[in-house]
Amino acid sequence: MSAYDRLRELDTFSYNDQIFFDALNESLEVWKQNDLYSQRLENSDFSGEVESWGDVKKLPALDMREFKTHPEDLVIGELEEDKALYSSGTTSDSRSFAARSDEMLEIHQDNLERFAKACIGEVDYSAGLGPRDSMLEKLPTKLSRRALFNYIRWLMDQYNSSHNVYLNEEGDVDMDLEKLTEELQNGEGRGLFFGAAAQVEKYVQYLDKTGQEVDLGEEGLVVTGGGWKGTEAKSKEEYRTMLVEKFNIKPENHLDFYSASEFMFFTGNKAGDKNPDLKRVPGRGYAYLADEKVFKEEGRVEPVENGEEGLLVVVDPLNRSYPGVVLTDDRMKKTGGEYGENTRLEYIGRSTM
Amino acid sequence: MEREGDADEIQAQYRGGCGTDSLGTEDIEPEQIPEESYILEEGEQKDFGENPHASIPDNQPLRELSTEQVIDQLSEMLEAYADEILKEENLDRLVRETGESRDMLKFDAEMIRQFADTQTLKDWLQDGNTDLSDYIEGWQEAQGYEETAEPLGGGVNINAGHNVGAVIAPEIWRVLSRNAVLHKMPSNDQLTLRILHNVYRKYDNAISKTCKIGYWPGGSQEMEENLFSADYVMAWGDDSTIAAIREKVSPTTRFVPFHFEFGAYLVDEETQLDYSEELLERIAKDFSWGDQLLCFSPLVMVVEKSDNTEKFLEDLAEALEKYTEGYEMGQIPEEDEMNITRSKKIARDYDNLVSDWDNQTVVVKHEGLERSDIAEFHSFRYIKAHVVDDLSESLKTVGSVRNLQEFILATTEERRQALRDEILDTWAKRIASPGGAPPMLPIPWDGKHPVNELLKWVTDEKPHGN
Repeated sequence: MSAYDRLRELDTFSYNDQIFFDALNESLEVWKQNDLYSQRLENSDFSGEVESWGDVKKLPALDMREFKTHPEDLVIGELEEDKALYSSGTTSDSRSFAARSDEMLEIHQDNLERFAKACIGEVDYSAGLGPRDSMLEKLPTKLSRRALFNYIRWLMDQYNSSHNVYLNEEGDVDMDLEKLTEELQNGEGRGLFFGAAAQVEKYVQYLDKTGQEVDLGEEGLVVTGGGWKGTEAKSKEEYRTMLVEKFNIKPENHLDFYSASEFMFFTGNKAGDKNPDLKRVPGRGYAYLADEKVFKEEGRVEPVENGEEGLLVVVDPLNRSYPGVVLTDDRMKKTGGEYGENTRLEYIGRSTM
Repeated sequence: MEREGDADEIQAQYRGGCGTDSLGTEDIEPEQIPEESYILEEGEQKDFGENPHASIPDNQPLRELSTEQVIDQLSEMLEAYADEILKEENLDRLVRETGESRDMLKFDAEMIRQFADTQTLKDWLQDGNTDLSDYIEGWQEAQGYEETAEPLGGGVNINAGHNVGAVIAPEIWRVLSRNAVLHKMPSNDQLTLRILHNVYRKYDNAISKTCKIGYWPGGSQEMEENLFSADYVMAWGDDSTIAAIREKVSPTTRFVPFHFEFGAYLVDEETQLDYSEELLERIAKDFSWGDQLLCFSPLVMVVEKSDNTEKFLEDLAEALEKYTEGYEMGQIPEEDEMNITRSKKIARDYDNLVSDWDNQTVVVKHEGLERSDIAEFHSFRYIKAHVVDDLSESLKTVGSVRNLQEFILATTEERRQALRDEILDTWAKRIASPGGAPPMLPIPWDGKHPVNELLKWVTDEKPHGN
């Protein structure tokens, strides 16, 4: 079995440095098929083989924005726009997209399902705010293939939830909140509710307006994703308090997943984690942070020490649609070690807003 | 539907839909006035009263003056304002508050002195060949009727700030049109207009009596609905800010918005083959003014492909950087700094960075121009030069953007003549030349004649047949 396949099979919160390095070395051979990346590797300090985390950090990183400005130059293999995933919120610009082959889409979906299972566990019922097929069919490709829409749909399929967002007769987005509320109120046991953070907030406003209540049960959970754009709450704490009150959940059962269309693994907190703002990184992915000052002054990626804030760089060995080392726009703080069960990422904010 | 039925329904709708019920909300006192709100009185921050609308002054003192008296008073006060800006303590504070450099502030003060010139003030009253002061001062004969222009009364001006020039222009317009005003300071510049207030305190005249300056947090629903029933509302901001303000403005209130606008440079092949240092300096000046944050600032450059394009852009990069020596850059906000760095780095990675990495200013080149390229811009002396085969085609692309204010043509005269007719089919309101990005009086501002926008025209129509 190749190291790549072994990495694929790794349990979500299992970690094996050697498997990671070996899988990365295997994928590097694929990434070199991209002329641009091949050239960048040659120009970098990278020696040719990954044998340590220090070596990993020497790999040149694509800039997330290159997916907007030069997508054709980054792709390995064919660029099929109808299979690509489009950025929803990072730059609010659906020109930014990440190509995917069928196999990569499968791995990406598998990543989410495994991550969700590991973080959420078993539930008795679930409902979410996500688009129906009939809605997506009517939208142009760049909207229907929005990463966030697809992530939510994958979750809905995984938990067998119905889709509650559709286009009405006028072609406007509508949410069937009555149906959603009915599903949540009729559930017994441990409930799960999920959606984009802004949409979840709108649902809470609906509950307030209609004087209704939803109780997700003692260990019920709410899972949000997609960033905080569009939310009205002044802070994460205010947002979480709203969820705790409205859905009768514990604060540590608000899970917030972080990812981006440019990479294929997910981060987030696990149900019951003491500090819900600290995100776990699964074993199949790796993240480090780059010094912002050095980047601004010299335009290069220089890793910071653990515990310091910096710009997030992700390393995604399972990604073979394009070189899987990506510098994001997000400012984070990493604690708990290089790679492993205790590693955590704390989202600080967007560096460009 | 039968015609008779139509007529009845239409008439019922028409009659029922129009009424004399006031749509204004000036009498609706807000339940809550945000704590941070205040109005400046004698240099102190005071609370608004229960009805904020009552803070808008009456314009009567201005109506009693002749044009000459208005201009004389305004000229004196503008000079005083320019003097005040240039005081060391104010320069220091303004640098911190607005982010502009001292060079930029001194330039702004100089511009205010130019505005203070009495002939320049008279020029603001020109609308094409029409001297508005004639109409403001009395009835004028037109074809078959008489006409006069009256001030609207008292209004609100929202969010003019960050740049001394942007603050003073609306003040000039409202005075010349004999209107009273309540200026609202933007939250991130509560100094520039405060300095104006401190100048006005020293004068007991029609201009100072008809001006109030205050602050409230933007988006205060009840307070703004109360205030936006004034006779006019002038507003400055990006498109979403203007849209939000517009929603709260009463339908019978005159709304004069200044939304996001920008300029676009066109450079033809011939100009790149034969250009002077002076031309480069003029282009650099246009891209540098106000750190490229002003409503006429060029944010796009389209360059017709030539054998000398590379050299032209390199020389331009040098000129742009050199311009910072006499007109120092202001402070760049952190998030903009990061945005610029990201774009610069990508340009460097793809061999498109023309300027040196270590320069304060940036020139990058890009092959071609698509509509999506105009979705995002950088300011702070950043030139993205799109190198194209067909200037006319690119003109259409840029010209399709409604926020376009002007095309600046760095072309031969012959080419200019050819292009200007094509420009008529675009959203541009002005055609300028290098160095002429900012409109020179009495050119319309943002495609408007603002003094005229703040007047209402009253006609005395003689009996039919006479």
